[in-house]
Amino acid sequence: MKIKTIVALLVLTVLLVAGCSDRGVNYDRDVTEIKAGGDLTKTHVFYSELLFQMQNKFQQMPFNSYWPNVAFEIGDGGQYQSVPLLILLPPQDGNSNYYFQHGLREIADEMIANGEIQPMAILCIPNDKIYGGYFYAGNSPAAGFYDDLIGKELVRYAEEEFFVNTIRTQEKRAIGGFGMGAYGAYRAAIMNPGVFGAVSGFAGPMDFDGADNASGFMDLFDDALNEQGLMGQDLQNPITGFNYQGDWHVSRLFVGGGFAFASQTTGFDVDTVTSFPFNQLPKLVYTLNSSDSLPTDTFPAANVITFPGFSVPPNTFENSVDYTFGFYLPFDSTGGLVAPVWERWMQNNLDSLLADPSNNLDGVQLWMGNSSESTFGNYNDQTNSWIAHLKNAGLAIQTYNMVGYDGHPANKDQYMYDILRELLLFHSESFGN
Amino acid sequence: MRFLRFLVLFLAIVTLCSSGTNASGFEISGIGTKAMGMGGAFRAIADDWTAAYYNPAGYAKIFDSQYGASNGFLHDRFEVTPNYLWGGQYESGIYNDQINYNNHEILSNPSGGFVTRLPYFGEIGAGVSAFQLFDENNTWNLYDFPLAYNSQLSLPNDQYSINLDVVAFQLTLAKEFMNDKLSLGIGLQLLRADLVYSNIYFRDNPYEAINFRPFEKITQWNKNDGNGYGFGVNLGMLYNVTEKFNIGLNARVPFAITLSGNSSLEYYMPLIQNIDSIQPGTPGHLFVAGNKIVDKADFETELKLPTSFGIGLAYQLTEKLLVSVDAEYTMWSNYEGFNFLYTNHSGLNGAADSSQFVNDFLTANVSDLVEWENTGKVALGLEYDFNDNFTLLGGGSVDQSPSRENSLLTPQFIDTGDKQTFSGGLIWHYRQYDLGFVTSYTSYPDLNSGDLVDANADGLFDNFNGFYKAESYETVFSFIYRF
Repeated sequence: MKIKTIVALLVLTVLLVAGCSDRGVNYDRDVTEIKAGGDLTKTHVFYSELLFQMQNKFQQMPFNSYWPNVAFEIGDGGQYQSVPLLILLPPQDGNSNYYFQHGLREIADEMIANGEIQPMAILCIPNDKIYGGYFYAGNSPAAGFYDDLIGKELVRYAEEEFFVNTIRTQEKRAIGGFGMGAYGAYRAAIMNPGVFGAVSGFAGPMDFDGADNASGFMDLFDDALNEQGLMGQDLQNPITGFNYQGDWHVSRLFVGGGFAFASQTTGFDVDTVTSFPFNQLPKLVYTLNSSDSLPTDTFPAANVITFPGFSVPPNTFENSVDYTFGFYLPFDSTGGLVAPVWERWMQNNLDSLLADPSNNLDGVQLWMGNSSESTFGNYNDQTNSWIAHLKNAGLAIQTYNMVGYDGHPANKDQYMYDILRELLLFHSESFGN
Repeated sequence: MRFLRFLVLFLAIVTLCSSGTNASGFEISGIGTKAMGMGGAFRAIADDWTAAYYNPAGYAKIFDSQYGASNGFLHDRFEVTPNYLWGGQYESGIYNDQINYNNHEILSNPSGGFVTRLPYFGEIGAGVSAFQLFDENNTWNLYDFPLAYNSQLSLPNDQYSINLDVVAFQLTLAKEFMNDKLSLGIGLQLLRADLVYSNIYFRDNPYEAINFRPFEKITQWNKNDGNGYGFGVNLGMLYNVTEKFNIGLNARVPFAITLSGNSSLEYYMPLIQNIDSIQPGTPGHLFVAGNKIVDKADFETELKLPTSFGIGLAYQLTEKLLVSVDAEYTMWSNYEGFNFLYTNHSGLNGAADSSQFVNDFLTANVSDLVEWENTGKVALGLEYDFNDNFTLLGGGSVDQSPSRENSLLTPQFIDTGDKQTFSGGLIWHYRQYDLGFVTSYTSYPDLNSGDLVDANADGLFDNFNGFYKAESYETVFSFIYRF
């Protein structure tokens, strides 16, 4: 009996002890393992590329950058370690904070700390209604000279004046973007062969006329007029005409595209401008609004839109008056196609740019994401068309499809937070070892 | 007699082999060492003060006076590996893909009572007692804000928690009839319910300008602390079929209790920096500034408790061995969860107060509703009088889960399926004292609770999905003094 009692008590004791042990506290992330990278808001002056850009008084481009901690560690050669460079272009109206507001810093920190991606420096520039730069395109004063800026001067600046050392080889340079930024990234990669080793984009204006050459933006002409209630109205009326300042995203798309692709200053040579003596500049700019020096003979005058009152860089043009910028809409007041202007747009379509023998994507790794739930700008169809075009051209491209969940479709930038992870993974792999 | 033996044996086998029956929401596992030691199969025995809970008719058979008390020490060891993803694929901030434990707690369940005989209506057994009818106590820490949501705020540790106690203060009266073969008893209950309940709600961000991920849902944490009173009745019948065989019946009818108290509705807002277009002081700024917004309010909710019916059989198999079998049916479908109605809001100011759409968002009522099924429970108990000083107890039970049909669990109510309880202990009879010790172990089946479900389509998910494992240990000490 005694033995049985002792055994029974022992069993009960073991049960009690085992049953009552503390199993600790739940944690999600071991935050101590994450070495925070950094981000910094800075501004750089691009003296020639942004000299006459709308409202950009000081030719400034603000940017935000992310740099990994490892870039501040001394390497074997006694120098700070060099890291690959990724340039990210935001979508229409996104500023340089855009990707950071979608979690870029935290995501990069975590993925680097977890070993999911290799450390990289990331440079983010703006695309907003203050500084223009729509489509990251154009060689006109109003739009800014982004073809020179993105693939050339910005890269030079990043490599020579940036805060960290970047590796100056094609393989270790990459560019990507979302929406209009996707177009800008591919445009820069195509027009600057040998500069970027990888390019990524997600749901953008990748084929202006769509797969059937009759959709894409062409389906949006009516939308632009209807969202302003201007169907059949006088677009040039300074009061009730085509408005560029409202929250009409489709309209602003055509305003920005107009400046980028069909500016009234098209054909204007910035090198000529900058070579003029300072005291002649006002007169030169003034002539931008005069029909005699513009190629208006090829455009219907009825659809040229001019905007008086853009502020002029005060230090440079303070004596100037009646200074206006203009652009041509690719549609008329009834939504009909204006062929000469649309032709300018199509000259800037990615497939047209890629068809130019001087452009190519040799040695560039490609990534393109898309969502069938994307509704803006027919970007879904445009992106699919571009993917098909690249494949037909024999180019290898990684694709990714984003799907939302109930009540939260993958429209616009709703899932940028998640897209960033995919995008960083691709670029990390593209940088190689 | 053969039939009775067969019946007891049959029910015992059913009890041990049953897999289709199971647990009972937040009903307590029982009170007292003898009843607990016998797996709760005590309705047809009911021979101490704890009969107030199991079968009030037993008081008619208690011929001495006695008072007693018991205290159960319960340790729930639950764990969940969540799969709490938006749309089944997007991170929510819940600690997915890792094993999470409920907070370490040893819970106490005290009870006590007094029984005597009164010279009314011939003679009746009467007593007063206090015990918990229902009890649920869980606390979990399962969530942190999604990466980049807000690194400057933190949530309290009782993110998901419940402390619900329904205590019965019962007056019990019982009398014998039919030459003492039949006893009837009634327990009149004053019920006191106390509730401390906290929960995290993920509300769709109403500010469309920034409702992209991970800000598409606002993290809301509500804590409600209140109480209420109600009434209940416990009816019992005990019938001595033979000298060796008893049948017991009982019905517990608790009426709904309105709970009221204070609430803190706390909103952990996103922190999104450098959005120049959203100015301080505007409604939109509330959704990017990263502050915690607190709305104080009064709350009211109705606690609908289940009626239960039970039957017990007890058979004196040998001179020393008593076997009992109980079955219980509890109408958990009556319980609907909590529907918190908030009034007398205070603490909001600025745009949080003046902006209608923001104010509507911050002061909204919330519902934590359930769809439960009625449950069955069967129990088998053995009592063995080892000698004059010691009585050995053993038992087991199988309970159904009220959420067995939809498998919709929340961290506050863990009931994964048919659970089996095994218990054993002893009572030391020392002079006029009975000192008892019982320990029990409850095994829950593992449960994979599939997808997030918004059963009432109010935009809030009604379950917490994941892979659940659970087990419970309970140890009960008791004494009874007879005089």
